Amino acid sequence: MRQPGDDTRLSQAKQGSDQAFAALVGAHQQAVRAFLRRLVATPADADDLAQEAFVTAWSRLDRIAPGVAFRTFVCGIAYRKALNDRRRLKRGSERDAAWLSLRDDAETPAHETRLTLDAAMQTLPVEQRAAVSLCVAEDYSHTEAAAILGLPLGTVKSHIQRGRARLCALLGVEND
Amino acid sequence: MTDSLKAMFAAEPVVPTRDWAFEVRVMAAVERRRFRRHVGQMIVVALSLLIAAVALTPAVAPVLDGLYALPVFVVMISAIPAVFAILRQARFNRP
Repeated sequence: MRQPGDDTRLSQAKQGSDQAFAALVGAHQQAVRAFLRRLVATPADADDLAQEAFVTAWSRLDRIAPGVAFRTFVCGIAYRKALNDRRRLKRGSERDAAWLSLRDDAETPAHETRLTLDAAMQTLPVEQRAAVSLCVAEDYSHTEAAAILGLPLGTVKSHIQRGRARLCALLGVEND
Repeated sequence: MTDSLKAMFAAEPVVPTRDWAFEVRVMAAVERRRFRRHVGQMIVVALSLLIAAVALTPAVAPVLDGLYALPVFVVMISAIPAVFAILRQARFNRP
């Protein structure tokens, strides 16, 4: 998932260029936010986490290993932040209850299919949801997804397979 | 082979391709993080200098008697990293 000019922008950003980093944010914000929106409860939470992920990526630009795409790096950070956010939400059961009561009002999906798909996605365990988001909803390779999620390749494939099967069963579509 | 599940995901784009508001928000957060980091570094340096100055004053008193402009010189020298940082950022921001 490398975009043209990413390597140049990344090397400039590593040297301290704000313009280059802003260009990287512009090129990859859609992918990172879309990934997070499928993982967390509300779009607002997803955008907050995406912002944090980009800021963390900025502070750790020198840690990107050679050959790793910027998008893979940011999505990895975003996934870990989403997991931490989930743990935080679990700890606060009262806040959970408040959030669940607000959730129906806050979400106004534009399409009936989307609502069904979102609802079906929410029933998956977070690892399956993340794997399906990356490899089915987006066009990440299994290897990239494994790098982002920090899981073995076989585990990622298994998550995708199980997630797909469950989604197809819930949505009533054929599992191709 | 058509993939029904992929088609459902693709049916509605979740996030716009460009979102200037989000990008500006991220860059503002980066700026805040950079500011906090710099302030932290400056506080550490200032405290180190203060402690070192207090600790070393008895030892360097004879030198300061001869070189009374030394503190001013040290302050001027300490501005050089800031000048470097400004010049580097200006180079990248050049249109």
